[in-house]
Parts: sequence; structure tokens; C-alpha cells
Amino acid sequence: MRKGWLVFVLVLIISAQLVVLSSFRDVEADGFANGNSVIAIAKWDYVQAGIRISVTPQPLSVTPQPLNESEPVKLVFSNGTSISINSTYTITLQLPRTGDFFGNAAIGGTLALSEDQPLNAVVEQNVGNVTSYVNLLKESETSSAIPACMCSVDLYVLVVVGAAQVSVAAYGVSL
Amino acid sequence: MSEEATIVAKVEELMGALDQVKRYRALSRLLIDFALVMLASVVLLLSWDLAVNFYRVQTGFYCYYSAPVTYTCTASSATGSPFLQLFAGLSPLLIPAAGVLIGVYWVDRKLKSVKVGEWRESLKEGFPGAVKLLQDLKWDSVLEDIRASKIGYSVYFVVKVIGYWLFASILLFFPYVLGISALHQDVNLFVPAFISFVLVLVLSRNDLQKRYGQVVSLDNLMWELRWFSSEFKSAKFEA
Repeated sequence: MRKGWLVFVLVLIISAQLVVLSSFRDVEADGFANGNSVIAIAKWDYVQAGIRISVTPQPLSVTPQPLNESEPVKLVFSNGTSISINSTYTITLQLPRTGDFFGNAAIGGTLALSEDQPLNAVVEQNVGNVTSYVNLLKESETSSAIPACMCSVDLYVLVVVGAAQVSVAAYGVSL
Repeated sequence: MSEEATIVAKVEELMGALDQVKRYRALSRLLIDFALVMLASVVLLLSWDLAVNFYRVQTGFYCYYSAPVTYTCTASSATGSPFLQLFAGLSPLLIPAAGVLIGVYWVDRKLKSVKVGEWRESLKEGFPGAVKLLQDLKWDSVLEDIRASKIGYSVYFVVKVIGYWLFASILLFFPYVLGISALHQDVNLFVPAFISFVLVLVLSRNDLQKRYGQVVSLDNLMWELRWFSSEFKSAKFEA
């Protein structure tokens, strides 16, 4: 009888493990950044994610040619600091869990979010006005865009100035 | 051969068959042990999987399962140690296979410790000993044991064949992938799974026939014993 209970407990543990395993999600985005390009990552506040961003300045010999060959590639962080990039630069960021939400919600648009896609990333190249583009993104990702929902979205934005190959890989867990 | 010697020989045959039943009954009880070992290996596998996934979230171990054919990661995508990545890639195969092997070993070891043949001393006394053995038998429990052992044995045999199938698939997987890659063809996992299933059936066909025969003979034995027990209960023996 004791063994029967042990089987029951193990089955319960396996069920719980499968539920947690099914809450892991990944997303990838890449593209050729040209001019002012925006890397935007959005996630529901209950998601914890690791993001790896890789920026490789485009060699002069390959097409398409950079818009301005004399300027080095720059990566501008959301707090305004920037770094110049001469060779492949990879950065890993931790996006912490910032809130709780019970239920389902969905947002459409460039950075669509839903229960099945709790985090998303996009590389938007050659953006004319970075500030207005970022503001537009923020508006579409705020809770006002999701009526009657107590959920909220965390938005992270980085800007690449210059010609570079950009890849974003994100892996998160919604618990 | 005298009638008494015939009865002694028949009782010896019966007690031998009941010993076999005793082993099968123990086997049916050990099935839960086997299930526990298998479930524990699944828990271990999922725990490892969870650990790797949380590690990915924390550090960016992105190439886990990214190249399932070779279980290697490119230098640009890899952040964990090569050994860790190799183990992460192989864990869905290695951990359940280890569970099967440990489970089969555990059941075999326990089966060997089942005590049988304790009736031989009584049978040396001849006819009186044989009658005493028959009188001491608990017929209802014997018939129940036979029923349970039949089911237990059949289930264990099926589980064992599935376990060996899994193990053979894992062994066959690597030469298959190497060979198919050399021929520049696509990997189809059903091929090694099917080949290993046929291989396991071929290798275990003698065992299968033997065990099938034993299950059938258990059936016959149960019918004979039902008849014998009712006859025995109504007859008077003088030990």
C-alpha cells in the first residue's frame, strides 16, 4: 500500500514537472540593421527571460553596403549609454519577473503577445524617427491597449546605429 | 511403478509447478517496484530537463537540443561546457535507458531470492510425505496465486520487451545516424525504432515461446487443480 502511495506521489511530481516545462518559451529575431535600427523585446510582466543579443558590424565587401561606411556601429541602451562595436558583440541580459497575472490576455501588432507567446522580439531596420517609433511601441504595449485586463507588459528597447547583422534569441519562463 | 510411487511423482510435479507459480507471484508483486524505478527515472529526467531550461533562462544555454542529430553546438551558440551539452542532448535517451536496466536488474535480483523447493524434504518420506504436502496446501490461495501470476508475468514480459526495444533503439540510433549522414539522406527515427523492434522480437522469440507455453500450462494447471481440490476435499487420505 505504501508503494502504491509512492507511485501516486511520483505521478503527481511528474504532472507538476510537465506543467512547469510547458511554460518555457523561446523566440528569435534577426535581421540586417541599417541606419537607425530598433531592437525591441516585449514580455508579460509575469515572465522571466534571458535575452542574448549579437551584433556583427557588416563587412564593407558584402552587399547590401552600409549607408555610411565611415561611422562605426553603435549600440545604444535604453538608459542612453552607448558602445562602439568593431567586431561581433554579444550581450546577455536578464529580464526579471515584475508582476503577477492570473488569466489570459493578448496584444496584436508588431510585438504580439498572448498566452502562447508570452515574449516577443523584433529587429526593425532603418527607422526614420527612433523616438516616435519607440513611443508608438510603448503605447501599443501598455495596459491601456488591453481593456479590462490587470496585466502589464515590460518593453525593452535598444538602438543600433550603423550597418550590422543583428540576432536576438530569448528564452523565458512564465510562472 | 506402484500407485503410491505414481502419486509421489505427481505430487513432485505439482509442487514444482507451484514453485514456478510462487516465482511468478513474486514477479507480479515486483511489478510495482519496476514501475517505481521507471517513474523515478522519469522524475530524474524531467528534473534535469527543468534544470537545463532554467539554466538557459539564466545564462543563455541556447544550443540545447538545437542539433539533435549530432548533439553538438556551434562555437557561436554554445555557452555551456561541451560535456554538459553532450549530456543534455543525450539525457532523454540515457536516463530512461538506465531506468530500464536498473529496473530489470532489481526485479531479477529479487526473483532469485524467492525461496523454492522447501517441500523436497517432506517428499523424501514417500507417500505419507506427499499426502501431508497435499493436506497442507491452501487450495484457494494456490488458485488465486496462479491467476495473479499469469497476469503479472504477461505484463512484466511486455514491459521487458518494450524496455529492451528502447535500449536497442538507443544503441542502433548512433550507427544509423552516422551511416545515413554518410549517404546524405534525411534521418528518419522510425527506421531504427522499427529495426530494433524486429531485432528484439527475433532475439526474444525463444523466450517468448517458452513463456507463452508456461502461461498456457498455468491455465491448464489451474483447471486441473480446481478439479483435484474438489476431489481431494471430498476424499479421505490416511497419512
